[in-house]
Amino acid sequence: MSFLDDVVDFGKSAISSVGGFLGGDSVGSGLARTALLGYANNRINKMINKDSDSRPSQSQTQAGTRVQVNPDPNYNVPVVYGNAYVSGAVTDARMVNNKQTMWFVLTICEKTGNKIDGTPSEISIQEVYVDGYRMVFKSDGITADYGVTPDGDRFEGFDNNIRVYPFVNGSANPANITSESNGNTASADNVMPNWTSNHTMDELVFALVRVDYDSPNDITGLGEVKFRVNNTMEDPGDCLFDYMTNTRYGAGVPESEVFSDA
Amino acid sequence: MIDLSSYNGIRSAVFVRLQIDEYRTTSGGSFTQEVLAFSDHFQDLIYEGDTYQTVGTLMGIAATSSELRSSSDTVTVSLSGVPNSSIKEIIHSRIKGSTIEIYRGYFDPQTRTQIGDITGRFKGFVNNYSLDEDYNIDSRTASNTITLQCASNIDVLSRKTSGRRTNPESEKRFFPSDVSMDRVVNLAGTTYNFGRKG
Repeated sequence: MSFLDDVVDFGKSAISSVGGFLGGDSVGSGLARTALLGYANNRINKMINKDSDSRPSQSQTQAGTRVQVNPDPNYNVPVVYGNAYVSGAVTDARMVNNKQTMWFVLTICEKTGNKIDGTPSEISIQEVYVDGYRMVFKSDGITADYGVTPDGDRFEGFDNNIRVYPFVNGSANPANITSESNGNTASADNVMPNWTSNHTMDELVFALVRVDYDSPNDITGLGEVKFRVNNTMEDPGDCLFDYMTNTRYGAGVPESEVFSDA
Repeated sequence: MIDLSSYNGIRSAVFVRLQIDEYRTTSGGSFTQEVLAFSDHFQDLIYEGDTYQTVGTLMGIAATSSELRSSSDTVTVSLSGVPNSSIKEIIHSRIKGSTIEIYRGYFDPQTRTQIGDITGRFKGFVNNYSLDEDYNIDSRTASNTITLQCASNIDVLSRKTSGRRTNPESEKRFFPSDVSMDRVVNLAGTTYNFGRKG
């Protein structure tokens, strides 16, 4: 006796409780039972479907995108003299806001030293590019408004989804993107989640980048970010002097050993 | 250029100026800067404020090649006769990385007067050093020879410091209290389910 027989017997017993004709063994009573069970099955399915309509809507469930962060522990922090486009390296990442926001720390380059005449070199972030689009920011100088290609094509999907916070000399020195009149004024530990005053990023130029998930606009990760970096140290003599004397990224030759008066 | 054509003979002497920035005589002592100046000249000589003490044949300098342009040549300087009592100064001081300058002077062997100026021969850094003990069984005493292997500034330039890398060890080498790079290694390969709801 298979489980199918048990099911048939269950059907018979259920129907037989309704009336004598339906509980009989004749062909007519069998057809009537089948029709009645089919109707009952149909009603149950409708009830189930009705229940599913009361579940959270499709827009409230989101599969998300698997983002893999692959920082390179052997990435050599570059030294930028003059003007250059630098991608930077991810050195920290956090996901917050119920998985809807990701923060990335992009280490861009070294802070360089003084020129031969003693004036400090100054590094600025002139432009930010994401996936080939130059970012145009809102009035706060932090929040992306839209992106634009060299051909003038605009992409509005960055609107409110990307925020950039540049720092030009460690965590305590926030800076504006050169083209913006406003910008971040808070130290990095007041912007980056889980950072403390011990996250100093000494002598580094870096940026905190906030990305808010927006699948319809294809904002599902950091993308390819590039910074246009400008260093006021650009004369060959200054660059060579800095490179020769710096003990962190240069040759570490004492300044007294370098004849720089000529 | 010194004109030596009018001399029947000349004698040259080599002067070594070793500047040790982290010099101390005991293991727990504080570091001070010390300049050691010595030469194989027959008498002490003052040059640019430093008195070069004569150590005669106890000093040896390996032959070097002279080239018209700056080259990354290396020089080995040995100093023999270092008494055991002075060994602790060598061990506790940080001789590696000290700057070393080697000059050459010419003298008239008859009048013992200096001919021309003292000229530079080598500028560089102590790359490594070694100590060799010479034990005298009869007298049961020992003296030591310290050998300094020196790299020229040109050699140092070609082997510039590797710079900072984005990992915690490298960051803390330059800034010990900074923890910004501490998560780099753990982040490698980490996957975030960015944007998932429900």
